Amino acid sequence: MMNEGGLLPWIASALLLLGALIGLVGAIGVLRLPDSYTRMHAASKAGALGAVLVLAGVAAASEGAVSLEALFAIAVLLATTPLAAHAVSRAAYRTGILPHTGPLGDAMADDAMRQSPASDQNDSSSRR
Amino acid sequence: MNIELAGAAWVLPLTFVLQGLSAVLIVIRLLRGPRATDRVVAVDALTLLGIGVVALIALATAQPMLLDAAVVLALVSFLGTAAYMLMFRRHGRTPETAGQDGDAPTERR
Repeated sequence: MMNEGGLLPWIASALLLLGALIGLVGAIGVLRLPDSYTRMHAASKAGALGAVLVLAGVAAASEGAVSLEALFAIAVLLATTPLAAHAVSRAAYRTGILPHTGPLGDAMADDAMRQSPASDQNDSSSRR
Repeated sequence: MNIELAGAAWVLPLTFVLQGLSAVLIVIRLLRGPRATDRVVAVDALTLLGIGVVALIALATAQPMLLDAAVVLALVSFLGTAAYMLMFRRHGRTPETAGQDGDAPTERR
């Protein structure tokens, strides 16, 4: 479509650099944030966005020659990364790391108490 | 594969350097991480980074076959994280037996 001096090479370079920068921000977050939940947040959101932008940059740089593979990889990433982040945060809760909750409180502990109020009032971290 | 990249002489090396720096930071967290979930998060972030690096190598060497490897890595990354979660669920459901092993959830590293 735009062959010589077009816009697509610039878009490709911008996407690659932006993806690498967002990945770096996510890596700094994984290194410096205080507990497992916030580290999971940095790794899944910023890391996935960095990978998606790099893949989009690769698809743009090849002038759409590999856009099918890149789009499939982007779809897989966007579908599975939230699931993985959810699984990791549930696992972190089960291993007993207490989250720093806001004014709404610990919703998973409330759920555990509501499901079995007699048996598990004092051990909410081992229930779903 | 016909590659059109503005400023390709410095964009690709700079992107590789940024990804390598991110990998070093995540590996520091992987080695240091006080709990097992921190290490799982670090492995997850490393595979996400690896997807981008494989795609960049496909771009640098002009081999579109490598993007299929990126797709497979994206799928396997999710499976690996789900498998780690299952490992935690077994210990989390039975804290009594986990404590008998000397492997209580609060002491897990």
